[in-house]
This record gives sequence, C-alpha cells and structure tokens, in this order.
Amino acid sequence: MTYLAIIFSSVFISNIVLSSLIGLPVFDKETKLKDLGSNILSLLIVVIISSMIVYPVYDLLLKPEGWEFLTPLFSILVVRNVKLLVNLVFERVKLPYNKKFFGISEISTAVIFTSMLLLVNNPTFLESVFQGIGLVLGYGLVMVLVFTIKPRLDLPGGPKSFQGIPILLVTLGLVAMVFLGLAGIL
Amino acid sequence: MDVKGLNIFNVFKKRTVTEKSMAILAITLLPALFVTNSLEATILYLIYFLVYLILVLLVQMLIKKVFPKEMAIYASVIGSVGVAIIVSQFIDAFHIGFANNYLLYIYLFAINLIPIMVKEDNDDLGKSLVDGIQSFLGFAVIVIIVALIREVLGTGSIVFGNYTNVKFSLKLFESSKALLIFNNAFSNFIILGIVLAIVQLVLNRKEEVK
Repeated sequence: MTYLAIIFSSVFISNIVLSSLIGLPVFDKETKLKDLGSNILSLLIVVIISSMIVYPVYDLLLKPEGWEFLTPLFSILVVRNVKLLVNLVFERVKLPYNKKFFGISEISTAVIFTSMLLLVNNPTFLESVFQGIGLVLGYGLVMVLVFTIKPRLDLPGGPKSFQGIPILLVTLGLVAMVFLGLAGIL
Repeated sequence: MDVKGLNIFNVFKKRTVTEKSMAILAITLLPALFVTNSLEATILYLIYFLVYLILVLLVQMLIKKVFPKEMAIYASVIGSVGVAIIVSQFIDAFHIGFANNYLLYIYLFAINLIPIMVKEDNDDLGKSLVDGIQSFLGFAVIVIIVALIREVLGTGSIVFGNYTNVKFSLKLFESSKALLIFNNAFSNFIILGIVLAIVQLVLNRKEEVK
C-alpha cells in the first residue's frame, strides 16, 4: 500500500511537470502516439536502472562520507551512460527509441536527472525505485495529455497572440489545479 | 542538439519567433519560475545564475579548445554540472536559507538551455560572453515580471529579509484580499502563458507594421 501511495503521489500530486515545473513536453506535428509510448518506456527503463545504481551509492558512500554535493555529478554520469545503453538496446529491437521531439533530447535528460536528485531523499531503496517509476509515469501522463489537447488548442477561433505555447501553458496551469485537488485522497 | 538560432532571450539580436523558439523559451523559463515565490528569492537566484552563466561559458570555451570533439560532449556535461555544484556550495555558505529551500533548482542550472544556445550561436569567447549576458537580461526581465505579479497578487506586499540582510517591506493591500492561488507553483503556468501571449502580440504587431 505504501508503494502504491508513493506512485500515486508522484504521478498526480508531486507531478514532475505540473508541480516541479521541469520538462515541459512539446511535440512537432509528425509525432505519433507510438513514439510517445516508446519514449515513456525508454525513460522508465533508464530511471529504474539509474535509481538502482544511484541510490545505493548515495546511501552507502556519498552520504556517510559527507559527499552529498557530488550526487548531481554522479547522477548525470549514470543517467547519460544508462541512456546510451538503453538507446542501443532499443535500436537493436527496432523500436523508435528516444525520439527527439523538436530536436531537443535534453528535456528527457532533465526529467531523469531531476528524478535522481529527488529520489535519493527516500528512506529506503524500494521507495526510491517506486518514486522514480511514479515520476516517469507522471511525466508520461502529462505527455499524453499535451499530445491529445494540443491539436484542439491549435484550432482556429482563439486570439492570435495566445496561439501555440501561451494557450498550452494556461491549459496546463488549469490541469495542474485539478491535479492539486487530488491531494486530499492520500 | 539543434537549437542554433533559436535564442529569443537576446532582445538585442533580430530573430524570427517560431513555435519551436517559443517552446524553448518556455522550457528554459519554467524551472527558474519555481523560485518566483518572492522577489527577494528571485533576485538572489538571478545573481547566482549570472555567476553560473559566466563561469560555464568560460568552461565550455576551454573544453572546446582542449578536448577532442568526441569527448567534448561528455566534458561539457560534466563541466556544467561541476560549475552548478560550485555555485551551490557558494550559496550554501552565504545564503543557507535559500540553499535549503531551492537547492534542487540551483543544481538544475546545469540543464538550462541558455548556455547551450549561446555556445551553438557563437564561436569565440568574447561574442559568447556578450550574447550570454544579453540573453540573461531577457531571461531576468521575464522572471522578475512573473515574481512581481506572484508576490504582489499572492501576498499583497513585497517583503525582503527572509534570505538576505536587506530589510524592506512594502504593503500594497490587505493580505486577506490576496489571491492565494498565486502562492502555488502551478500559477506560474498561467502567468507565463499570459506574459508570452503579450510578447507574441507585441512581436506580431511589429511584423504587421513592417
């Protein structure tokens, strides 16, 4: 039940995009739902593997020695290498791996990097892994939301100055407000 | 990464505004906006970000000259995170309250897109430093506008003294009449959306006049 609560909280209440404002998902018009699915899957695998490496090193080496300030450096190195490895595997199995939406690969790196920095604060290893899964699922949820909402927002009728990113941001603000209302469930 | 010519933070350079450049603007601004709870925190954040920006541009130029191309990508990532850690250590020493509240967002300097865009747009150090500072000005103006709106509407006053020794307080209206919604992080989406709509409106008008 604790792990379910952690996942629920990371997906809805402390959502990485809506609550921490990191990794706004943006797509070009050629993006398909299949690309999103494989992107979320690759992120999930990277986060699970990275958290399995980062948390023990943080808990057993960096924290006891007082080297917590090295966590970001260690995290980014692990994340970069694991991402390379997962991309290689995705290439082998011919999945549309890690598609660069708008040509920006840094967004997903930012999401995983932030997840690593957030999950090291958990008291146990399993809790940190589940929080990582929850954070990526939350990011995936926002990705799918943006993917489905965006074409409707681009329909003619709205003010010209609001078209594109401004109206998307206002909509995400309203969605975030709704998600905040779910805090009472836990 | 393909972000060449998409830096619209630099208001001194002529750039066409596209959906991609607006998206990059929003992605770069959003993590910084988490700090806009108070004007004092925002100003501190911007000062440290300027220090980070100058240091990271120097480090990137050094990496470009010293490392071969294949290694430069890794070296620049390590360089960016390393500089962010050094800046975070300074903040921990001088503004411990600020560090306790916003340490994560100091580390996230490392994923800010401004140094990457500046590096891709310029080849020599002098030009990239000037471009970096000019881009910082555009970035700072938007962040301060959002911080002002949030603090004034969310609390009804502007208060300094939580993180620094500067004591200042200006009450604009009763706190009971404040819109508490602006104290939440998600209000940044709404405010930034409106600010970017105004930016788009001004730019569209300019193009129509031409």
